[in-house]
Amino acid sequence: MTLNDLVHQAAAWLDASGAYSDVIVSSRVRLARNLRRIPFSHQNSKADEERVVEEVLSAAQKVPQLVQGTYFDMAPLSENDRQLLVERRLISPALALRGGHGGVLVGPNERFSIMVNEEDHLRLQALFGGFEPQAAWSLIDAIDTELCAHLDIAFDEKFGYLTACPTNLGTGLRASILIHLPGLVLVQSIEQVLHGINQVGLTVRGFYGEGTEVIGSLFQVSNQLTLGKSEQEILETLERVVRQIIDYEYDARQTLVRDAQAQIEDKIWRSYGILSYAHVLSGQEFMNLASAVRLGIGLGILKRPHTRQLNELMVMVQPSHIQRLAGARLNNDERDLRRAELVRKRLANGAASP
Amino acid sequence: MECEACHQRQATVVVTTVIEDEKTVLHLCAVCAKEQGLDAELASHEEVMTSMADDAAGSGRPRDEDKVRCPSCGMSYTRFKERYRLGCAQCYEVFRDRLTPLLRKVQGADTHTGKRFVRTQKPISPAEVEEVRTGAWTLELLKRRLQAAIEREEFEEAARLRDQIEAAKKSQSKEPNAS
Repeated sequence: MTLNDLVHQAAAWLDASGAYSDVIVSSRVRLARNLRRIPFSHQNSKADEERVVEEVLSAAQKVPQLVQGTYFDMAPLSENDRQLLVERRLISPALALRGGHGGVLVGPNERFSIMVNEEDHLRLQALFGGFEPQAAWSLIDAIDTELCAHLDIAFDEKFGYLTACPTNLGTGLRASILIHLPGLVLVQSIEQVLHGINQVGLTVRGFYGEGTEVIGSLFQVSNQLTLGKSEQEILETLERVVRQIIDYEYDARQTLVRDAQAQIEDKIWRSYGILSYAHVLSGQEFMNLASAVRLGIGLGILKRPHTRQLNELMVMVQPSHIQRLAGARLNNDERDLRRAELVRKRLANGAASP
Repeated sequence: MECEACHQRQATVVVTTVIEDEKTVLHLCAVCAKEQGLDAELASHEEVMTSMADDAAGSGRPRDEDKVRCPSCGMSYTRFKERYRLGCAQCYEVFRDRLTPLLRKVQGADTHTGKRFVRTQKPISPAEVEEVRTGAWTLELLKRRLQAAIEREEFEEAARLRDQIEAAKKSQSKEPNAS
């Protein structure tokens, strides 16, 4: 598996087959783990970093699920190629920016990935389409158990799994639901809903995770607390709150259709029209239009494209993907042309097939 | 939805109470929730971190205990307060008494109740690590690094990598495939 293979495949989480795929894009669960005898990544020497990589890869070779994976070493990758892995949500922006010996082990169909030498020695994550936090947890829990069985993991009887930052301590678990809330944004009650989230130990982040901005009415809801509750309790709280947000979103969509049907249909069809025929598209514009089209599919106003196609496009039209697919370095303007072309072609294909 | 207590502000907190199988759901605004003691007093990360930063920068005379260093990685508590990152697993041992109240504040708890780490297999031996150095994965890695070095026209590095690849190939063909 090379980077070129990656850009030409569609990750499993994009297929829109999970629960509530009309509102929830994806469910991600990640675990933070560290090796006991080696300083945490930011205090680490180059030799220590190499030791972490070697120990982790040695252990991984003993785990059947991991043997089929591909390890990407960060060191030789250009900035663009690292960004490509960020765009596919296989690594965090932090790992891409970090110098030194980091890497990522990517599982078949990109269902899971294991970052090495991020802020913690190990960041294991599973990524599923739709509202599937339990499935994501089951997969990554099993991989964690098998992989760490071979490693000397930093675990404290009282504090649990030890992490570089105390905000990950205990379970080391962060579950994030990527949720599309155009209804709540349009009826302008998104602020209230998000404010409520912060009061129950959950938090809202941008598209790529911590410290990133919100685009295309996509929000990432995740647990803030990692200590004192079991993994199951954390997941259940998150699920309960997200279910409620889903209900609020459905209510908002109904309100929109009831009170402003013509306007909302117009917005959706115009967005679909622009995406289908535009010749210049910025990333931001694409995300906003795709948001309206996604809403249109959810409301049954648009019969095509399929949500899966929008998901795939969302990944494909990001800057590093466009350049990889073109096989050339492109400036902003050139990328906007390519982006529009990719979207036009894909939507035309979607129109041809049911 | 409006707050069911004051009927003025928007409800942002949902309180579910179960008493003897009878479930009541109450929608409250943040102000009324706090009045009813339902604010869990979970200070946000930022709040806590900021107060810690103030503490660190504030009086300008660090407490003596701030200077205590972790014998394993050399991290001091002063440094921790600047970056909010511990240096290694042993830091948690060294700073345990000072971290416990901090954790109660940031996490609302100080004791882990979830999954427990169990090492069921022998740790990886140096020989096994050596095996990885010569395994198919590493070979693949070295080849990619070589390619990148050539692209960057770093020929010394490329030569070094070529030697490593040769060595890896040799030791691989010497040993019958272990996996």
